Amino acid sequence: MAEQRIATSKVAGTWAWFLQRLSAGLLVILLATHIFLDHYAQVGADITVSWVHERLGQVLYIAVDYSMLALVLFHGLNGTRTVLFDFEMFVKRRKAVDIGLWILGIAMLVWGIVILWPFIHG
Amino acid sequence: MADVDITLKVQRFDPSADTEPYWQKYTVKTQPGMTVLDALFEVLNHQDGTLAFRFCCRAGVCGSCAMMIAGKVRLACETQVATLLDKREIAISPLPHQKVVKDLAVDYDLFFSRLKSVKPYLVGKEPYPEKEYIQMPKERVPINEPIDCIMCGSCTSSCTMAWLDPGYLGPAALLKSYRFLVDTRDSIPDERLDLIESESGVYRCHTQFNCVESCPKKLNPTEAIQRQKIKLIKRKLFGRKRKA
Amino acid sequence: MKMSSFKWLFGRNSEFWPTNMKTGMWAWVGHRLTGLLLVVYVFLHLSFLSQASIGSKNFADLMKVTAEPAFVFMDFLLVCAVIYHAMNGFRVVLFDMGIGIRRQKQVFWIMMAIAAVLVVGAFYVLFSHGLFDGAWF
Repeated sequence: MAEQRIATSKVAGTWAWFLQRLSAGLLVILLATHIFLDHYAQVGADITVSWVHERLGQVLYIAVDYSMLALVLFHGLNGTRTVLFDFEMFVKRRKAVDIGLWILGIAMLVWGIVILWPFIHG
Repeated sequence: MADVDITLKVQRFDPSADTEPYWQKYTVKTQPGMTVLDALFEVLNHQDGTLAFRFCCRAGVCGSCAMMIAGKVRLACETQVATLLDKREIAISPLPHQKVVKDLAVDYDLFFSRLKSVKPYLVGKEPYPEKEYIQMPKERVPINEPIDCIMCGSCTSSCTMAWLDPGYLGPAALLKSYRFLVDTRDSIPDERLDLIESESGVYRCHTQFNCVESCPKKLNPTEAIQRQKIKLIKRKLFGRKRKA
Repeated sequence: MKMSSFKWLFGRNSEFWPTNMKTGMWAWVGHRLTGLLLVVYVFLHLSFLSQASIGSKNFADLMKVTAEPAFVFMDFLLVCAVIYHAMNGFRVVLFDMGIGIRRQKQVFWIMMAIAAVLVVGAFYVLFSHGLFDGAWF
């Protein structure tokens, strides 16, 4: 066998690795807040558009919803990147994978922001 | 257990003649204290001279005879046949996902080029001493364990990540890197960290612990990899240490 | 050696899956599967909510859908996946901090015990607050 080139990727994954753990920790906290505020404390509530609008008038709800969306997208897509990079063919196309996942992430973030917009502005 | 016959089901494959591997059965009369390697020798000497397998020391030190025995990666010379008598037949195949040279002998080129890429040698501190580097017993403690690696390839060939990507260093190389990283006599810790700080280095390890389960020397490559991750993130967050 | 044949991959005593693989391996498989599932869930969640933000009549209809037992059961499965992913993730973070690597199996089962308690709690909350009477969002 010819001399193999080892460690194909020279990109330091330290930040990706660290931020994955950091976002995981933040997500657990936010998820607990989210479940308490939006589900547990609201059991039995009659959910209508005006009710949602009223709640989303408060900064707390908007902050929890949007920051959770951003963190979930980061954590999920960064995790997907890790999954893809376990395969040799994606490691070789690292730039394409990175750009693709960034575009997907930003598109989904914008989509999520747009979705809540009608509720916030009535 | 004397005079019990066991059946060895050996995977045969000759890349120059066969298109696919096939199983061949041999019956061997057991003797007290017989290892799987002894059984293979019995086949080689008395039944089939074309059987190929790798061996050297027969005492679990050289790391040549790692293979799959009854579904598990282990050393043939350290596996007693008596422990496998409950099996109808003992399946023996080469290390999983490795290029086969012939029968049970696999190609170690990739394994050793992975190993070589982490500089598996001591780079001493200048000025070099007249006789030897003095090391206190306490300083020796961190390397007591990783120094026992016999480079048999069990860990790297049971690591799914090393299967998927030949570019990944694998547990054996990362354990070796750790062994020199924590050695007080070594002078290039920063360079060693640079070598393994990569998506194909430490960050490919997802703590599956397959390497720990398969190591015949009961070493813990996963722990070594995790400790190196900690060193890397500390370096990233708090900056490189100035060379004294 | 490359072999594409299915039999070699999944057959008994197959060389491809050494039985050395134990708790740590399967914990990782579960972690990865739930992780990918949750990424798909985020996409489904957004597309569901984007239907909801179109009009108020549509909104009321959709809220009725969320109250269906089958939908709530899917919610429960989602909660289970999140709890497993979180608890095993916590275990991985512990290893990243250098804690409990030598006792990874015990750590896994401790985490799973906590996860089981959380799942039972989640089931109780869902059940007592309308798994079947439709008051759950």
